[in-house]
Amino acid sequence: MSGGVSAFLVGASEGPRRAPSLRLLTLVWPAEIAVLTLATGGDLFSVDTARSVAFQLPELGFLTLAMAVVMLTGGINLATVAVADMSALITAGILIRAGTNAGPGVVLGAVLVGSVAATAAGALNGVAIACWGLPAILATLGTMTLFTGLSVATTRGAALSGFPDTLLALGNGSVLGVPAPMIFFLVVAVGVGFILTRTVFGRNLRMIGSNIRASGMAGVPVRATLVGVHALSGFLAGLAGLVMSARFNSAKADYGSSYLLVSILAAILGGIDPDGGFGRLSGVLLALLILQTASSGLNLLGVDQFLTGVVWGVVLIAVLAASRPRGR
Amino acid sequence: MIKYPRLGGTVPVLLLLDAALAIGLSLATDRFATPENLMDLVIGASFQGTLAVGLLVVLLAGGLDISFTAQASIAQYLLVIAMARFDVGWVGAFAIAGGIGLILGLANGLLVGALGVSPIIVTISTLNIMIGLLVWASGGEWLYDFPDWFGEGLSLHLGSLRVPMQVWVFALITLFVGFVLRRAALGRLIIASGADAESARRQGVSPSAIRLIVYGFMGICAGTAGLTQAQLVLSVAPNAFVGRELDVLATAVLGGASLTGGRGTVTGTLLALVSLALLGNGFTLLGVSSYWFQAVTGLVVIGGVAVMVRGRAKLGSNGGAV
Repeated sequence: MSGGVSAFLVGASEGPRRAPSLRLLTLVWPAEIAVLTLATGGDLFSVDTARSVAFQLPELGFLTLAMAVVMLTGGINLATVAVADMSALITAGILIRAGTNAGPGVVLGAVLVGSVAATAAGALNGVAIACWGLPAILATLGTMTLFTGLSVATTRGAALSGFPDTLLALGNGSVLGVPAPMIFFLVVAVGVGFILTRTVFGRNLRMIGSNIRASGMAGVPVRATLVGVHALSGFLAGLAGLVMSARFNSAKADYGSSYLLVSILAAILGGIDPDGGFGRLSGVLLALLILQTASSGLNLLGVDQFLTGVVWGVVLIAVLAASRPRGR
Repeated sequence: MIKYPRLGGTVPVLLLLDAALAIGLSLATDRFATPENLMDLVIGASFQGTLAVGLLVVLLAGGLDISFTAQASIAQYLLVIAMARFDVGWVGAFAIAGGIGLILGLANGLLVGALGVSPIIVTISTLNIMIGLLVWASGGEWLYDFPDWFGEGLSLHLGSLRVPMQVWVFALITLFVGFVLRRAALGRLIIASGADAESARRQGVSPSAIRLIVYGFMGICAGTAGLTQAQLVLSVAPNAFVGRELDVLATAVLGGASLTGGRGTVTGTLLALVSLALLGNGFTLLGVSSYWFQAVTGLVVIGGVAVMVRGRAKLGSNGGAV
């Protein structure tokens, strides 16, 4: 049993979950576009919609990557959105003091400080889990409360706004018609993919996710790897905060709180096994396209945002039911 | 190796913490050690306590639930609508709130069993589904329209002391859980299935039956807590309890309940409830902004649990990464 929760109540899984195959996901997306295009009377199939999907996807995308890397070890990170907002507030706090005319050096410095804070916040999760022995659910739920609490307490819940143009370009600019945040996200996703598939660290992650005890006995540095992956998760969450604040031109303690469920859904729909050990980023990218298109479609259809949350919950449960391991 | 729940461990530490907080607050403020403040403290903590005791039962069986706040919200919302239409009386009110909670809890239990995935993921989904449906269907509208008999409450009079229903309902549920866990066979079966799933199954304990019982009971507790809380504040908002999940989980876990099942006590949960309530009360009395309370709760959870699990969970020996 690789889960920390008793196999008795969960049902011991025999082998990995049967994740939706890549081929199935590649079929789902065009089918979904066709259905939503018909349902919206052609409104969905427009350059504007495609651009809005491309502008919004990176926020959810970074948060999903942050969730996926931790899930590969069999853990979970419930603090991603809290870390994203805290990191964005730190960057925003520095930039607002510097004024809107701040030079590229100041902007880069502020972004760097925010990223370091996010990485450190993630590493704290890793230390709590790997060194102090807290279950990942509890550690990350605790830091979620801590970071959100700090963000709310220092800003009194207000939004910090007014960023320099150099940073706003990251959220709203385009290069050759392709939205800048999308390019940024794809570059980072390729980098994360490289780490997961081509490095010892990436291999160790999967081994820990498959069988943490055997990995330890086989000489995998379990503690260091867990701290590392949570630091990476924090860093990626910080990038989500960065693109989110660049798009809104502001940062706030509770931006993007609805993303937590959707990022778990995207990771699992993309084939990341929530029990750890198995999953590929290509599936996750496809899942993100499917979910973001669905989100835009539902929005065009005028579906209430709370009802959209209900849809995500139902879809996640359906995906979990369909991917139930065989042979019990 | 079968691990029986220990009474030691966290209980002495929590007792010391509670005593230190109580003495500190009595010395630092004039208002702490007054009967009014102490009664307010207990009334205020009863909502969180009722949920924590229900959650303790789920945790003992090796499960987890974070959707109980949504269950409480749905139960109290539908209850208030029902009371406006029909003359249900107290028995009817408890039956409606508890029954709605029971149905929602059973749904969780069925899903956790059917999906074969970590209950945190299942109940995050059901939390979103339940609260999303409630906010959408209600349009986010608050309800204030209560019948007179409900507004008067159902206080118990012990001599000159008036015990509000929030307190005695909480006490009753706590006593019931304590009795079942220590004295009844069902309690031993729940603890056994959380402590060693495979052994319990080979002894003939039905996993799905235990699952339905614990998640169903959590639902009843949530519905009941929703009712007493509605009676206390005499208003019902669809999103009133959003974010309270962690406080409740923190109470149970600080009290010594293990997320891997089989370990935890009612005594520990109550002592942890007192610590968190004293902390919150102290913040209010000392005039510290309530904004900081959330951050401190997070710190207390991480620090407290870290101290508690020291030397208990060896990484990897029990899937400690999860």
